[in-house]
Amino acid sequence: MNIVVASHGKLCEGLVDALHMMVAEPAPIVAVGLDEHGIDDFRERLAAAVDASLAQGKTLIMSDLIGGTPYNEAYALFLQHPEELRVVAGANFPMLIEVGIAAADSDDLDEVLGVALEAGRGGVVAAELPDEGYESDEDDLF
Amino acid sequence: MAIVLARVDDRVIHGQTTTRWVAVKPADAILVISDKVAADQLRCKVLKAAAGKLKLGIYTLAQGPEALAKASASPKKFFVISDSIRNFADLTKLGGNYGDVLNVGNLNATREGTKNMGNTVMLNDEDVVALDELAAAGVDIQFQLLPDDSVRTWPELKAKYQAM
Repeated sequence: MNIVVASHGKLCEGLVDALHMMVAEPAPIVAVGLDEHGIDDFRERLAAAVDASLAQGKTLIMSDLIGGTPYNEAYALFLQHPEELRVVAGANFPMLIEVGIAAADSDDLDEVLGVALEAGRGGVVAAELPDEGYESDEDDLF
Repeated sequence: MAIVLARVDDRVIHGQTTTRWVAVKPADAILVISDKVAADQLRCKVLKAAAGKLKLGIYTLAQGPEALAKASASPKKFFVISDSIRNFADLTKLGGNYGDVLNVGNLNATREGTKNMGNTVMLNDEDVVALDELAAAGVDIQFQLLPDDSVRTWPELKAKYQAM
C-alpha cells in the first residue's frame, strides 16, 4: 500500500528525506506540505496526491498535527474514501520508519494503522542516565 | 557462525545497525573493536546506550583477536563493528577472524583526500590500500548501507575511484 505524508511547511519533505536514510526501499510515498499558497492550493495538491495514490492501492495519510489543516483536509478525504484510506495525526520519524517498512509488504490498512500508532507512541521517550558508567559486559558477553 | 555481521561504520552503533541490520541478522551482542573508541569513555557510554538490549563489548585492536576468537566459539550471535577499514585490515594482519565477508556501511565523516563513492561511502588513498590488503587476504568486501540496498563490490568501486 501507499503513504502520503501531509504537514505544515516542509516537515513532510524532511521526514521523507530522512526515511530514505533508514529504509532503502520503503512503500511508495509522497509528501504534501501546506505552504504560503494557502489552503485551497494545499487541498488541491493533497487531493491530487491521494487520488494518484489510491489509483495504485490503499493509502495511509500521515498528518503532522491533530486538528491542523493538513489533518483536517486529510480527514475530509477519509470521509469520502473510508474503505481504502486511513489517516493518522502526530506523524513522527519512528512512526514513518515502521510504516515505510510495513506498508511495503502489506495491503491491510488497519494492520499498518496499528503499526503507525504503536511505533509513533513508543518512539517518544526521555533519555535516562545509566545506572553506572560504561562497563564491559564481558562476564556474560560470550 | 557466531559472528553474523562484520561492518565498517564510522557512526559505529546507531539506528540503522540496531533496527535494520538486527531485523535481518538477529544478534545477541555487538563487539566494537577500535583504539579510538576504546580510549573515549564518554563515547563508550553513549554506545552502551545506543546498543539498547544488545550486549556490548568494546576492545582495542590488540585485544581484538582474542575477543573475536571467544565470539567465534560462543553459541551467541555477534556483530563486529569498527570505525575504519584500516582497523579490519590490521585485525586480519593480527590474526583476528571475523569471517570471510566485510560489510562497509557509513564512511562519511570528514577526512583528508576523500572521494565520494555514493551511498554514504567516502574513500581516500589509505582506504584503497587497506581494501586491497583485505581483498588479497580473501575477504569478500560488500559495500551495502542497508540490508535491502544492493551490494557493491570492491573491484566495482575501485574502478570508479580510479576514474575520479
